[in-house]
Amino acid sequence: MKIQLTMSRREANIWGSLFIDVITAVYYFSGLAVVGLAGGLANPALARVAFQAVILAIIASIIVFSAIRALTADEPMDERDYRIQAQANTIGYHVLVLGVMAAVGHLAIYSLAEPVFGSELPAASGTTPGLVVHLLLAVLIVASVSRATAQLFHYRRRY
Amino acid sequence: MPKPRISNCIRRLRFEHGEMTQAALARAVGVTRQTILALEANRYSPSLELAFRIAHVFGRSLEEVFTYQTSDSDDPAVDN
Repeated sequence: MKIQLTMSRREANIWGSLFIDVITAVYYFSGLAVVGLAGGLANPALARVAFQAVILAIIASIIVFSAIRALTADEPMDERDYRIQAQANTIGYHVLVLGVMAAVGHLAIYSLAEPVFGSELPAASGTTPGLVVHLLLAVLIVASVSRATAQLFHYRRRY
Repeated sequence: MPKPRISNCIRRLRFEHGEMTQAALARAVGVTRQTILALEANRYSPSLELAFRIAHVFGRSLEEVFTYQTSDSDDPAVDN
């Protein structure tokens, strides 16, 4: 028996994705704050945090999406869903581009400033592969969260 | 510039048509129940095709189901 919710399975799935994105990101980046980037990407402690975050995301996905599937009925997308998806994709895209531009700008400015200022620059503003990877990872997560939030806003408030 | 709104009387028409449920209307016009819910709450302006499909289900003209309004007036706006 399906419980008739005021939200569609699609909207519930977006809530689920947003929840999993946020808990995984919080778990990973809080672990990263403890471990640090000193050992680079090959640091075993960092690899362990990343592995645990992946396992957390998989387990959370199985639980959340199984529950949504059990509680909601499947419905094909209609014009409102497509319109909301298109608007949310646009917002997510702009956030992604802005974030990538900020990350690239940071790398470019650091590369230009390093020969001049050298050791006067903060240690955390380097251009190590580990920092670049995590910067881009954070940008991807923020873009994904922005996209999901925009979709939910449109489902709940606007459309 | 005032924000245009499209209001409708879908809820009243559903009850006049044998208390048709939102789900039944959604099936008849090929959208989700949430879209009908959003339409009735005036939170969603339908495409022209969907508006015609809804009007067709109730056997009414488009103008009898949907009304174009501006936020500074409740009177239907008349296009030139």
